[in-house]
Amino acid sequence: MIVLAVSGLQKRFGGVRAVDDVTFSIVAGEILALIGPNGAGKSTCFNLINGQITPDHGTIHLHGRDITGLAPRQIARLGVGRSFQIAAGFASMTVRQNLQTALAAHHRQSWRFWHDAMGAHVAEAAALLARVGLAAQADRAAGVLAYGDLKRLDLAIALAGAPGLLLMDEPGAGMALAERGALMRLVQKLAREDGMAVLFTEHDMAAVFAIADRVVVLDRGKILASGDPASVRANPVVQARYLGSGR
Amino acid sequence: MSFFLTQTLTGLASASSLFLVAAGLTVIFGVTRVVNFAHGSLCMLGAFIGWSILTRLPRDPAWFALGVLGTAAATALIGAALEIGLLRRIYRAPELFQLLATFGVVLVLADATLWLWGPNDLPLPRPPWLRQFVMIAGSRFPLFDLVLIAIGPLVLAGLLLVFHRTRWGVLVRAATQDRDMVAALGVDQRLLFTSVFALGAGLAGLGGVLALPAGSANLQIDLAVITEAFVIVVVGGLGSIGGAYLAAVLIGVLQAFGVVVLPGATLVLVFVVMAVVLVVRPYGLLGRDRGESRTDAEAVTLQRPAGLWQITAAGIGLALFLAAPLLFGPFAMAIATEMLVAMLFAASLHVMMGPGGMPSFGHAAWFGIGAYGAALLAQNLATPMPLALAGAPILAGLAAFAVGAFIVRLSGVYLAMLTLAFAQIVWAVAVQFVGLTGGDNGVLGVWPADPRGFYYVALGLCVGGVLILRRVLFSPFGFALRAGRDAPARAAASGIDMTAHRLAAFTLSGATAGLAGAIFTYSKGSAFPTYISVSHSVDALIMVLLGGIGSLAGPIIGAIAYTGLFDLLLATDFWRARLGAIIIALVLFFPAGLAGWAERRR
Amino acid sequence: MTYLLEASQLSAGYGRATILDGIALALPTGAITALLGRNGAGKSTLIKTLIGLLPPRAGTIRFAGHEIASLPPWRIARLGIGYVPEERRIFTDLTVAENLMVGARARDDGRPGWTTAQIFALFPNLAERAHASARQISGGEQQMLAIARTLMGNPRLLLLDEPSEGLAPVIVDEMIAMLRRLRDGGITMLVAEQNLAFAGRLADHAIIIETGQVTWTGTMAALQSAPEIAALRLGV
Repeated sequence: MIVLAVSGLQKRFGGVRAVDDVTFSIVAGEILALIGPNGAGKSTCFNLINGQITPDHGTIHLHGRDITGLAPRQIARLGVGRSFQIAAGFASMTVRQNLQTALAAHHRQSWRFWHDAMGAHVAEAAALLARVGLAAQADRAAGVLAYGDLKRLDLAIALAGAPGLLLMDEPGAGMALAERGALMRLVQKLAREDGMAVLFTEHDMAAVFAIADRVVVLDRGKILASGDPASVRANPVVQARYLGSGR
Repeated sequence: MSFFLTQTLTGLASASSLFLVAAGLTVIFGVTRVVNFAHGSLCMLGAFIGWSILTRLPRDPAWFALGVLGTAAATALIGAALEIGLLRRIYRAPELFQLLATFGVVLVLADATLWLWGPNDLPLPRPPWLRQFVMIAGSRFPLFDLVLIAIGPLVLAGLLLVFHRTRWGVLVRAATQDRDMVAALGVDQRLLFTSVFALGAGLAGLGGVLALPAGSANLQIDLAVITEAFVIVVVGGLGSIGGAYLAAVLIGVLQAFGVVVLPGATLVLVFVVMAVVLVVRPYGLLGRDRGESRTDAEAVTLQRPAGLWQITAAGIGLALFLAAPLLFGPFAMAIATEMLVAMLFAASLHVMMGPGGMPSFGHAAWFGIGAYGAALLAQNLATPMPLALAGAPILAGLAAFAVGAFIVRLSGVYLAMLTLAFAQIVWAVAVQFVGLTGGDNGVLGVWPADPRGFYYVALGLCVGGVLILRRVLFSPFGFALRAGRDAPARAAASGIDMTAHRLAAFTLSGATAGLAGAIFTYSKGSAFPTYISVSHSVDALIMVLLGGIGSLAGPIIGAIAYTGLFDLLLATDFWRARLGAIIIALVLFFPAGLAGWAERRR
Repeated sequence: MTYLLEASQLSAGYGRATILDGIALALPTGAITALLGRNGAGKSTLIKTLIGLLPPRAGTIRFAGHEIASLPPWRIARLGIGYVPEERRIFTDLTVAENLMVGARARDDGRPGWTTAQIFALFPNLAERAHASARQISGGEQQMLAIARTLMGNPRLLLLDEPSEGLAPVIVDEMIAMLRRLRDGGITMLVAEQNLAFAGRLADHAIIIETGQVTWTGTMAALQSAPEIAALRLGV
């Protein structure tokens, strides 16, 4: 089942084609890595898919529905979750409250003025926290979490929306190697268990080749190569342009 | 034809002095990122100093020009002293504290001017050359206005020349874009900032003295000018000099025509223009998004439900308020009512500023709309008190909704300045629409039938209002609001409609402030324009910042403490200067706020 | 070996977060030192701390006989440290020539320093675009401008944060040659890099930082001859 289909996507900034005729799709349960040098267009692709910017040409379909040009909030409600490169929790709230807020939003309850938010979705929040390994931190303020834990919280908030597609922008950025590996394995497990499609960008090739089912290499806005990790790694053009001969 | 020409020329003449003041404000903001509330005070000082100089000089054009330049130089020096003595110490403080500190300067300078020059308006005796007219398209036009029309573009050209042809000017432009990088390249920031501040202050003084021939040196200039300058700077784009000139011309000409076509509605017209510009171009005509970073030292202050001791303290407090009329008599009842109203007022501002993340410098607008709403309902429509008390928050809420729809998308300084501008317009309406509002005399005779019974009504409404706000802050709505403040992109990615949540909070906050205003009206038996004054808005800010923006308990404690302090101060001469000095001291010694200070001591 | 800059026990961070946790480092005079580490290891923070944009919470920094740890950035820059930030931070509202003007400062010792003509000789591309808005020049030219602007202040030590980021390979080659020429002219450098290949071609020495602490110091040659160090510490 195709979750996301991106077709002929194009976006210019000034005279530069940041994203130029990009086409790919992801099926349920699949983990797709989007890699390439800085400025290759990865972030632009991401922002196009989650609605922060609108494409000049091309379409984006989610579960067969055209979502091109929708606002980020609307796209989020259609089941696209995202985690941020620089993880951002709701700093002035506890970890549990962070999730209660996200869960309330998912259940379309953010306009309830008179319910007690702290008594709502307690079990659901606890389950999510347990899944990402934050159960012990539930009552701490998000603003004082260690960075690795903040990344997990960010992921848990994204999962609270029960997304069919999860977008992760450099999930490993800023994390220690061991933490990074654990997070990537967690994502892999979630994708397998929930049949969630995952699209992520990452500089750390070890992480990419460890968990990705498929890899798309971007270079100056265009798709340079795509395929399973082994074939991409062996691709001479990719080696010359991006990975470098040392790998 | 001649009507259009003369009105356009009149508009251009007033645009010139507006531009001088706004240019100084915008240059100072561009480089130092401080919104200088005291800029209007510098303009006022220019008028008074200019009056003192010009009345002592021979009355011919050459000496006049020299006196004008001397005045500008004097205000530039005062500006430099202000920068070195105060602003330099608070560049790293949160922006609201900077605004507060410069407002403290406004208060001190207002009393200093009163002390030096006395309370009377000082018109400049006009020699014959200043009274000359020229014939333009068949009508007489003041010669001096033509001089003013020329001065605006001349100063603009001079500034642009300095900014593009001198190294100092290039440094100023570079610092406007990225002051940290300029410092990292070895440019002495202190010198740059001081000189920029002196230039801006000099321009304000110039604007003040050049407006003398058409008016007088008076004590109202400071706040009148700062509001107009804020509007122009926001419409033109913060930090853009060309934008300031465009906006000054736009608003000057608009006012010139407005006075004739829609007398009495000029200020409303100005606000409408500002709203339209900001809807089309959120950062002003020539402005750019400068990626304002929120300096929120207390972002990690956790919102907690009250603990046991807090509930106990609240219980004791409530018991005292309940017993006040029985134990202490009518005077205590009056003070207690004032405290209760202040509590609700501050709590409503907390909702907007704290969890809402929307700083407001014009919160008195909603208070005033509630106060006048209740007073006018009672007076003109003979509405019974319960209905008037219910109608007031609805009116204030509707107004807040209408204004908020335009401005909740903005953030930080922009929002603070626009709320202030709107409050000034409400204030102007209260003063100018004498037929409806009684002008400065206010609306009188709005008393409750039973004072003691009313005290308990007020107690119930204020405490109930605060409890309702508390309940909302801990509801899913409140959480979503807070989430959007903490991490807007993260909240949007979770499907939360931030703009709508902010607008709802803005409306709720306005309505609650309106209720506070209505209660206040009944407790005082009257509604006055002072309820809507800038200093009343600042009162609310001080209460919130004093107590700490992190929790709802902060503004409540702040309101009670501040009301007590204020009643002590009011009884003294030059209370404004004292209050100003206290504000400045607070900002200097507790730059992160009392709550932040307490947090660090823990 | 003499060291132009020595830091010890350096700690810094933002808000409650600690990013640098007791850093000790020394930069050999007249050499290029690469500052290596993962994303988030604290490279940019360290460089910002050295130039004074982020005041350290603890520790000392000695530069050419001066203690600079508590000085504001403009004083540090005037002592002879130039900073080329990661995002370049050129003044896009200004022209190329005006950007150079912001950085220009005479040498304290009265000897002749860099002139605009010399800078333009070193960066011929910039000479052609001297009066163009800095917004309109290419990414490579912007990087060159960021370096040129700093040179106008006649620094003895250059701090470069990820200079190769986002540049085409041809431009990177050009930049390596140019930086080595500057080094041969007597300028000491600290270059923060994630790209090990780039650092290997440029630097004489290397420092690796991990989670705010220095975990390896040595020559670039030593690092290159022991790939397991890079694999372990940098994850490459």
